[in-house]
Amino acid sequence: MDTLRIKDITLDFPGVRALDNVSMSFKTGEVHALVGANGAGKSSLFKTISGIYPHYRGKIYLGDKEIKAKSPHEMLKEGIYCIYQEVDTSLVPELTIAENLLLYEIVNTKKFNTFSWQTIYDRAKNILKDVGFEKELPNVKEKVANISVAQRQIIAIARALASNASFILFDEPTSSLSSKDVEKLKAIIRGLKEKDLGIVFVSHRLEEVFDISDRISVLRDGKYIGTKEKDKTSPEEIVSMMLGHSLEEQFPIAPHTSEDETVLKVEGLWYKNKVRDVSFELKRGEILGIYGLVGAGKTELLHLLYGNIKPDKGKIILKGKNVRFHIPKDAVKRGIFLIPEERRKQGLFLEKTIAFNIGIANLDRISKGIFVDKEREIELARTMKEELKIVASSVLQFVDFLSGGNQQKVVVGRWIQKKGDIYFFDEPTKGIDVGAKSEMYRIISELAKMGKSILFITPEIPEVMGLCDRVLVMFDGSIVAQMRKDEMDPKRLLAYATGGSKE
Amino acid sequence: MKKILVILSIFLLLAVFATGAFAAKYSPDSLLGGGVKNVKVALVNEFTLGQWQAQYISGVLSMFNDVGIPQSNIFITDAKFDRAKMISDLKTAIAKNVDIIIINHGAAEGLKPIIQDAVNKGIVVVTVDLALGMDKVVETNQDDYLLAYYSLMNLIQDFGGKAKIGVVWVGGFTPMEKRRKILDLLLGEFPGIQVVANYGRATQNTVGDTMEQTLAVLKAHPEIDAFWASWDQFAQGVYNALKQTGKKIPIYSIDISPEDISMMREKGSPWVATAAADPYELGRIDVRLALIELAGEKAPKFYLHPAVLITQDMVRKLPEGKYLSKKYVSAWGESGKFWPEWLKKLAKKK
Amino acid sequence: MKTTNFIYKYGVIIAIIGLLVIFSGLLPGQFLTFDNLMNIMTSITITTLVAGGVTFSLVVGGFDLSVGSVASLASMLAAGMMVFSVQPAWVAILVPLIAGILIGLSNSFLSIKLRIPDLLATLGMMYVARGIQLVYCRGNQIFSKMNIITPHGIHQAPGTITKNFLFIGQGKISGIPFMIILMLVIIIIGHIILNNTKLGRLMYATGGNPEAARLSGIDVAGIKTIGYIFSGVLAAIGGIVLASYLGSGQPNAGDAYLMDAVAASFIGFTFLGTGIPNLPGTLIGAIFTGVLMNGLTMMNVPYTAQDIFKGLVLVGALALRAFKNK
Repeated sequence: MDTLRIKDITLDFPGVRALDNVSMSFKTGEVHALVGANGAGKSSLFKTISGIYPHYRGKIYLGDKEIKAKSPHEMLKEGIYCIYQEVDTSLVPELTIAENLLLYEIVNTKKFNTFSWQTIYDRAKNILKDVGFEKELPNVKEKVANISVAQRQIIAIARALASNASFILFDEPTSSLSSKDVEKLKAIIRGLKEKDLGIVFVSHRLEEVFDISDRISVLRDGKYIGTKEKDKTSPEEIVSMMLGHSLEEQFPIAPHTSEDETVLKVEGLWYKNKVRDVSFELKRGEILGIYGLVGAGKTELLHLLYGNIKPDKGKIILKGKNVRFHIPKDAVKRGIFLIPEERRKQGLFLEKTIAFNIGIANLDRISKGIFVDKEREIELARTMKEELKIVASSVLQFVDFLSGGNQQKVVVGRWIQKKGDIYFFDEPTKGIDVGAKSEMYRIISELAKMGKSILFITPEIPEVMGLCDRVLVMFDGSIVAQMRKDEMDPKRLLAYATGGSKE
Repeated sequence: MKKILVILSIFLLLAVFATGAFAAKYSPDSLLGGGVKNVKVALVNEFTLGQWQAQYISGVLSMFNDVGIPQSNIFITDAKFDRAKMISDLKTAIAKNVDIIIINHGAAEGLKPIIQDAVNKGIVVVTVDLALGMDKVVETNQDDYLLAYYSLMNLIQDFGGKAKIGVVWVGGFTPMEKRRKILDLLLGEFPGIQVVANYGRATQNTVGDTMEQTLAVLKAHPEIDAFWASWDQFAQGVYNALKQTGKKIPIYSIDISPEDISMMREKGSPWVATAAADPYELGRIDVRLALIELAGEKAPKFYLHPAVLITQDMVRKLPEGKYLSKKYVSAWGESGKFWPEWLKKLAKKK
Repeated sequence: MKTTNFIYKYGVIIAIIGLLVIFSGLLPGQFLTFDNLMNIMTSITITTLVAGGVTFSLVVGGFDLSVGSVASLASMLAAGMMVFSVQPAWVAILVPLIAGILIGLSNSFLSIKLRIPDLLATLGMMYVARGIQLVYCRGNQIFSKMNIITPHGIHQAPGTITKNFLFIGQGKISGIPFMIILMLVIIIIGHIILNNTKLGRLMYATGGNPEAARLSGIDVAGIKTIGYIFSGVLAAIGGIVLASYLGSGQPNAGDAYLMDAVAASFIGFTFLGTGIPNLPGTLIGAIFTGVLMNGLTMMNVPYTAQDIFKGLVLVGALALRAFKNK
């Protein structure tokens, strides 16, 4: 058995201490989860160990030997292999699986001429056989661009095994996987553990952490909080370690009554093969969930209703009137607002301030004539900052530097003061920490209490159960089930969402 | 916005500290007594492309050198046909407090007010091939009327007054406008001469552009009997086009250079004649005129540099490796003009 | 880190002051005179106007390469309106402006409706504008009472470039060239539009993140079109000033401003650490290159070598930006 020990690791960035005297140790033959809220230092620690931040202070030992994490390449030589969240960054999509597997070898060899395609393919197959992934990657001549994210991760893992790594570190490996692939990855990780490798596993999702790890370490604000044996702790305890206090109530039980008045009615909506014959109604004051797995057509449905893409067929009836939106501006004018899925890509102006990001959708409110009144702009942003509890030194801070949860609140804050009735939330809690999540739930339920109607996309069953009055389950572009709150049941939801049963 | 205003006011403040120094007065004696070492001169060129310019500029520089004006006192600019830049260059020359500015080509429209500033500051201004009509400016020119007349009459004689010709010409340059007038005059005189194609553009790649245009013209007008190229850069373009197509259509042109001569000398060359004035000597004369003005003596208001016709026969008689000189063409080389005694002494002293 | 930030924010201004000090030391009594400083400002006036056009296109997330040709076209149209068509000054100003608007519309049509990448669309329009200009003047300069050659012979153009029109580029108001004042006023107005109006907010949003802008209810296509129209108009104003400054229309005379304008805009990014296209920065960027070029000319550095310095300055500014983004 080998150990990977870190001692008094401190990592400073200009103005920020990302890691503060962190010490812990990992063992081979175990799966060790590293958890923490956003900004706790998980990624910083991961990147320090992988050699990306060579300016750290402190010591790293492999067994009794001190090693210096100077570069990823150096760490690889020591047998420590890191698989990044964006697995694509270490792969070349235009090359074949075989070439990617042997990439380091091809690049570093001095006898380049002696390689033949056949040798490369044969060696790649042998490697896959040795590490036991021949079933997962049957065709080594396939281009990486054409395979799934899970398969790409397998290439990265196979590379690690082929280079005789003793420790493999994963940074949020499941964040871009479908649930089927998550299960597969978990199985692979268990297999690695049996091969006596040490697995370090950074994750947001407590559910999977408890599923596969043996020990769980918690970081908070760059400090090491503690390590627990999985069997001797509970999710509640870990969450309270992450938060620094126990989480009383994740989902607000804000009573609100959905009325009978139909605000939005959709009839027979089609879009390519992504959305098929979708019909439903949204009531005033209702939180209507849309649950489904990745690729079920949830996002496309919202964008159809928002005018961002045009339906091939079907009717959208807003308060009894047939509407047709050419661009999202038309929807916004009619009081429909979207909080998009990818907040950095689709929601925010990263190089701009909080005030700009909120003001941009409220220009009429903050202007006198054609001129923007900067005081009003700041005033509005301050109101939103307080109301939504956005943590920032000032509303003139650039949004790029805010945490994910605060960024999400800025996007929401853009719409709160507008006269509107319908809010579309597309996975609003994706990648934000536990505290921000419950804030987001509070905001959504408050909006519903004010009589706004909410369409809420989520791939998380607890969110459906905890927040929604009613849920539509989508599978392969169609709505396969509708359930009222009292009918909801995790197993049924998952069964419908995976296409396991039809109504 | 405030910041810009602050910066601007810094500019203005700094300007207040600056004082406009007036050019010191010179006399023949003070120049001879070593004063010439302090004379600062500028040569502001509209462009320096082509052999004519090379000869003219080296003439100017050789004369500066002969009289002992130090290299470091000579300020040269090249606007590369960018007339906005030429205006700015002229302003820069004035700001450098030079005593003499020689302005080589250019357009009167934008330059006139700036030249007036220079004159007001007591700077001696000599222009070449730039029609200004301003007091206190010495204007020198090649004899463009005669240049055009010689080359065109040579064409008309060769064809007995009947020919379809291609004209390569560009407007907007003083000498060009003058040459054009002679063409129009002679076209009226000789109705048998017909202009079937009319083109030409002054660019940084005049030879190449003219060549391409000529190739197109040759396709459109196979009936052309002769080309009149109003500038040797044009003639070179036409020459290249004819060489490429193998056609033997005679070229009559204006201006000459070593490069032109080698083209004219080539076996079977279609370039039969060119009218030219010696640009090197013109450059030297311009410097002498400027120095005479600087020394407080009176230089003539206008100077016209004489033109001659140079035929293929004449250049073929040149010995290998020799360029035109007084020996072969009497109008070439040292003209002996504008050499007051003190200036001769100044040149000898060096 | 603090020092790099400081250099990033004020680098261009420090550099300008540094250049002023160096050149006035090397060229005593020559460089730092009112006349020479005005000369520098006039020499960058047209560049700044054209660069203002580039900046507007950059603000909305485009990149207008046609500005130089638009300036050429505008200057030829302005001169031609007076010389060929004997129109008064206001027509000679209006027609080029309309041409600028039309080119702006074409640029946005190509990039938005036909989805041609901005660089290629505007590159195409660059050639189109240049071609229209050359066809219009038949490759010749346009000046008062010029000779016009037609197949039927030669005749003199009927009109002249009017005194009123010449005032734009050659007139002075209490010793300061009018064109400098005009340029500053336009830059100030442009800056107010970008920084203080709803339209400016929408433009920056569109350029900053088009997808987020669209989903925030902004008519991205419309705003981008307006950006390109501004670009065309500013370039056209540059061309009008050029025609007046030269007192004639020179074919392709505006083309040379494109690269200087692009350089000024990008140097301007760093101004005050904004990292985004902005007009005061563009002006400062143009002043910086103007001071440098003027000083080098005065030092008798050959024109050909000056391009090397210009290139180094641009690369330096961009490197500073890349360094900051790290």
